[in-house]
Amino acid sequence: MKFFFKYLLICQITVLVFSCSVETETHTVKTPVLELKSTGPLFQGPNTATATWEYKVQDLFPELANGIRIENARVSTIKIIPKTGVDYPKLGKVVMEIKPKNNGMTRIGLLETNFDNSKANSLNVAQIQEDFKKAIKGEKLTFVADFDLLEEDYYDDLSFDLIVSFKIFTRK
Amino acid sequence: MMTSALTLLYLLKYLRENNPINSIKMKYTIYTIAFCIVTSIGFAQDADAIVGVWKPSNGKVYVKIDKIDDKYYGKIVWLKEPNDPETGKPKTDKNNPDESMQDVPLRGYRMLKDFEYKGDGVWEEGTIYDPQNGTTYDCVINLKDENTLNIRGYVGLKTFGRTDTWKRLQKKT
Repeated sequence: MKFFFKYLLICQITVLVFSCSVETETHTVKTPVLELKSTGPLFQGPNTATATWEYKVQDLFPELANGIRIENARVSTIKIIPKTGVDYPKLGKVVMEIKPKNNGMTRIGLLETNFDNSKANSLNVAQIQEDFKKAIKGEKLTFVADFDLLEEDYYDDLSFDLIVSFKIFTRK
Repeated sequence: MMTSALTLLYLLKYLRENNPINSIKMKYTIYTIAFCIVTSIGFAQDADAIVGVWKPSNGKVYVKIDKIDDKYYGKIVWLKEPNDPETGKPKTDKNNPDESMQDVPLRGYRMLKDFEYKGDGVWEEGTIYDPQNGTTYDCVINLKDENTLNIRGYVGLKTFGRTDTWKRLQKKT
């Protein structure tokens, strides 16, 4: 009798857990090439560049016809690419933050080495990330990059290409 | 702001003298619109009063506050001791609870985040990060005068916190 109740309890918990768990599918969503821009003049030390991405959630998932229910979202890659034909000054480490329309600013990545002006720079993505579910639903994200200008000054605007990708989990 | 106010007054005078629609309702509408425009210009200018470079009471850093989108942020732009005495290398955020972010340089660190202007020289809804212990606190900023800020960091209730006075680096006269 004792075993029967124990067995029943385990069955009930199992049923409860499975009925509450949500089956999700994973999508990789990439921003278009965004212009990450810092307005000059820039002086030696920390400077800031920003890029804004506005979109419609519906357009991110063209394959999902029936209502989109985002369960979780995370940043998976961040790439800053120097534009061709621009003579960049020497730049140090880069810290990337994200500012959603409907939420606070959060740090998402770090380039631990000095910025390489000759190739695409992939940033290390933060291990601890908040869930960007709400942020993605806001349909406007501002990316804020803080970089160190290692030279004395630079009297022009500074622009880069920026591509960020997200792993977004939607309910099946 | 003065120029905008004068332009509006001139516009009002012109409308009063030349507007063929002379009903009282129309006049009130014009006055209301003008009032809203003047107050919103004033509000925006008050909100930006926090923008600039500030020096906390300990004098160890300078913090530059600027506006991104519709909120205010402050980052460290100067450190009295930029290098870690143990390593001789530039100081980083070594107390950050996220190990992957412990190499973020302190120079350039955004320590004030997400402040919204609430009127009467008060910015709220933001946070302040203390790199010495890797802790983020809720924070409220009061503009005491145009060259002085009271920054109060707290946990939960504003009563349980600490206030520091920051001075503007380049004083406004």
